Parts: sequence; C-alpha cells; structure tokens
Amino acid sequence: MCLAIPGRIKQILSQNGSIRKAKVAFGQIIKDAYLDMTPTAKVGDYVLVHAGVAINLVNEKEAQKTFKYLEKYGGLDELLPD
Amino acid sequence: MSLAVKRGTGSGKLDRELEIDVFVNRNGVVTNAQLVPTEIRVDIDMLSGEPPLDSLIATSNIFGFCGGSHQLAAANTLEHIWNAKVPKNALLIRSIAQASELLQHTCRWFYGTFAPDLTNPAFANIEPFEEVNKRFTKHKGTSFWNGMKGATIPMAIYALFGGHWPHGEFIVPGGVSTEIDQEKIQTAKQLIEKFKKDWLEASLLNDTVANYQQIQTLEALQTWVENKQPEELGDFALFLRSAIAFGLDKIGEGQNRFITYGAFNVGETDFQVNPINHIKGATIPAGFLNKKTFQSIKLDPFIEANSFFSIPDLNYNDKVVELGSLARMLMLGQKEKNPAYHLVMDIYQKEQASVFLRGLARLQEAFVLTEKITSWLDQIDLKEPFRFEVEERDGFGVGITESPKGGLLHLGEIKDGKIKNYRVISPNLINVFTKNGVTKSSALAVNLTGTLIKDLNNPIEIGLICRSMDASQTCKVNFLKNRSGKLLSSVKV
Repeated sequence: MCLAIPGRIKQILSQNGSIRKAKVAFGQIIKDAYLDMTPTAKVGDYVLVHAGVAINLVNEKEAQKTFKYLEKYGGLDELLPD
Repeated sequence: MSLAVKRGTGSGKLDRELEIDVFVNRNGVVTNAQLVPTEIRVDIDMLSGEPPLDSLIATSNIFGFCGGSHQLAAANTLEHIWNAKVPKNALLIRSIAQASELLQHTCRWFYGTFAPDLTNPAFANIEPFEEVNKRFTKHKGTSFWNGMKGATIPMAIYALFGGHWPHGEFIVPGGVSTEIDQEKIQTAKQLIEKFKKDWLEASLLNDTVANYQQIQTLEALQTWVENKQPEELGDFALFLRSAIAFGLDKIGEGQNRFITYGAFNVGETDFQVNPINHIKGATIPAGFLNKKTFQSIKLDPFIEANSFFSIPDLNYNDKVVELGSLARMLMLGQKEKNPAYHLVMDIYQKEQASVFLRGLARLQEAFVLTEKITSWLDQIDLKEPFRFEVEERDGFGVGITESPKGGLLHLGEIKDGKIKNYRVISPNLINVFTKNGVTKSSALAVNLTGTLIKDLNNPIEIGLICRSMDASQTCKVNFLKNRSGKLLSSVKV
C-alpha cells in the first residue's frame, strides 16, 4: 500500500487524448503503469510505481538502491506475474 | 524470524487491488467485512545488524509513497535512543517538507482517487451529476489534469529543502543536512503563494481562502454551497454539494473513535526528541477522540503491544480506531483556538463521521497546511544552526509522526552500535486490515458494516468508503452470504 517500486519505462502504450500508460520493467517482469503523475516521463526513464501509477521519476542510481532494499526485505513479492 | 509479508489470496500483483470479503444479508446490508492484508509488514529483524543510519534510507526507500514521513519517523527513533536535541530551524525545515508531502498527496488523492467515484453511473440521475461528470471523470475531466499539476508545486517545495521526493536524504539525527539560503526560502514562499492562488483559490475554491475561512459551521457551509449554480462552484464546493446530494454524508460512519500521533513540532528552540515531547508540542495535536470525548493519547498500549517480543495488537485499548486526515482535523478543531479550523469538528458534533466528512477533512487540511508552511518559512533564521551534533549510544527508541494516510510508528533497538531490532507500524495496518492473525476488525471493516449496497454489481458505496479512508485505489469485493459464507459474486469497484 505504501510501497513504491522503481522500474524502467520500456514503451509508452497510448497517448489517446491525455491518457498515458506505459510498459514498465521491474527486473524481468513487465507491468503496466499509468503516467498521470509523471507527464514528462519518456521511454528509458526510471519511475517509482505505486498501485499501478508512476508517482515520480527517479534516477538509475536511486532506482537500483531502492530495488536492492525491496529485494532484501521482501517487497518484491509484489512483482509476482499476473 | 524473517521479515513477514502477510499475504492474502488476492495478493501478488504490483497494481493489485485491496481484496475485501463482504458478508451481506438478504437486504443487501453489510453485516461483516474482512480485509486481506497485502502490505509488507516490517517485522522484528528488519535491518538487524545494519548501521543505525540505514533505517532512515531503507524505510524511506521501501515506503516510497510517503518516504518523507518514514524518514522523519526513523530519525525521531534514533534521536530518542541517542537523547538528541534538534534546533528549531531543522524542525521548521522538516515540517515544511512533511507538510509538502501531505499537500501533494491531497491533490493526487482528490482528483486521481476520490472524486472520480462521484462520476459513477449510480448517481447519473441526481443533480449536479452532469457538472461532476464533466470535471471529475478520471483522465478526461476538465479538472483532472489541473489537480495533477497542482501536486507538482508542493513537490517542488519538498525538493528545495528535502531533495528529490520521496527519496531525498535530508533528515539526519540532530537536524537537517540541506544547505539553506535566502534564495531557497524566497523561492519556497513564491511557490506556496502560487499553490494558494493557482490551486486552492482558482481551482478548488473559486473564491479566496480568506472568504472560505469565514465558514466555520455546518450552516455557513450549506449557505456557501447552495447559493450558486453548479458551473459557478469551485471543485471543492461542487464536491460538497454532490456528496450531500448523492448521500455520502450517510455512509461510512464507523465507530467514531480516532487517534492521531501528532505532527509538526516547531515551537521550541532546542527540541529534545522523544515521544512525550512530541505529543506535547505537535502543531497537529496528538490525541484520542472517543466518540465526542477528547482524551490524551497514551502510547503505552501501542508500544507495549508492539514490543518486539509480543504478538502485536493493533487496536487501541481494545478499541478499533481510525487514523488519517479526518482524525487530524478533528483533533485540530478540538485543540486549536483559531475558529477557521473548527469546521470539521462542528460538522462531526452535529452530524457524524462519513465519506463526505472524510473528503471535506482532507481538503480542509490543504488550507491548514498551506497557511502553516507560509508561517514556518517566515520563522527560519539563517543565523541559527540547522543541526546539532549527536552522540550515539545503545538503547530503545520510538519515532512517531503523521503520514498522509495517518499515524506512523517506528520502533528501534540498537545494541553494540548496530540495529538489533526494527519495526514499522504503518497506518494501513491499523486502519484497514483484519485478517492479520490478531485483530478481528479494523476501522475500515467497521465503517463498511451496516452499509446498504444498492446494487451488488456496482457496489460504489464500498469503493467510496475505502477511498475516503485512502485505503486503496481499486477494490476486489467478494460478496458472501451472511450466514453460510457462500460466495455470491466477486466484483471490482
């Protein structure tokens, strides 16, 4: 619920009107995330995803550090495949 | 013992929904609700063997949705153990950053999570649905993107003092590490003024904050909302009018017991950090509201029950309690002399807690925090220190504060200069979950119980109650027969 997991944008799915959705890679797992709160995000950027929404951009170093903590403390269990 | 991630049947997806087992009787009234935990539960040996300062970085990274609040709670935990003092300048900077985290969340919660429910087809034949639908439809409403844009302003204030939200590593035991100069303070003042003018006044109120603050009673609020055409209303007044028209003031009453741990200690020059001083000096007061009676909060039940070696009990004195914005605004209304802060308490005293009042309270909090940030910026004194030296030692400590979703509690123990035990009790663990092996109910479960679900295929009442408590963006609802427990249907809302 309060977890926010960093991932890298692989593809912007749609820009139908102002709705933007992306394919985001979390390690080997790809998930969809809305880009409502990160309107400037582009392919290759790292975003912090909470409940299916990218809540902010982060740099690669920051993303890797957070990923390491989540991996260590079990937070990546959230990333089981659909 | 390893870190326990309590998992329910519906967990396992990053974008997963909150899963609720809802028992209904033949009339469609909720008789019981059970909520499957889907939250990481930081248990006794989290960070065990790590250097103490790792707790600040690890918790703010793991709980990124409210990283600033976790970083502060972690710092307070170490400061309690180390008997540390913090200078007033640092308290101000911490408070400005934390309030900015709350403000950005309010913008996103209202437009991205809560207001879209008002466009549900269940309300299509009730005025002012047409205007609501035009403005609040997710992604397409005329106000949606403006709300998202509004969130970027407090995030920019956070970045000035705290670095990149939510991972800025600016809080250190004894103070803050950020270099502050007049230019930063001036920029922050311009940003908070912009937030007030462009978002609070132009979008949310369509009126001035000064005029709004004259509204201090339920009756005055009704007059303000009723005397205009829907298209003349700001988003806030449109929400209020539609919420009452749609019956949101009649659902989600709950048990009417609220707790705040308190937030924003800014009053003292050299603040000795410990939970007792925190509770005494918090700007958003700490307290326990037992129906209509205000009481001082005692942390003992939480701390003892959540000590590292006993089974956690997440109730308070055996009572289910609710945390969050409504609790904060009720405590503020109770303790603060300024009548501009009394509106939420006035409505609570005359009516009851409800989805409507939770929505109002969270938006009301935005006015309060904007005013506080402005005042705190004026109090920073560049000639005074921003950090005191601390002396590390072993011991046990508690860090408490308020995150966007409610009261947040960290407990830590240091032995031989390393973390021996660390535990985080996040607000959802108290507010939301029932199937955690200990508590049989939660504030959300109680708030759902007794609700009439008009259409089991579109249980918007459940969605509204959950989202008014900021419990989840989407819910999977399993309807079960009251007595037999037989699954009737599952639906997403």
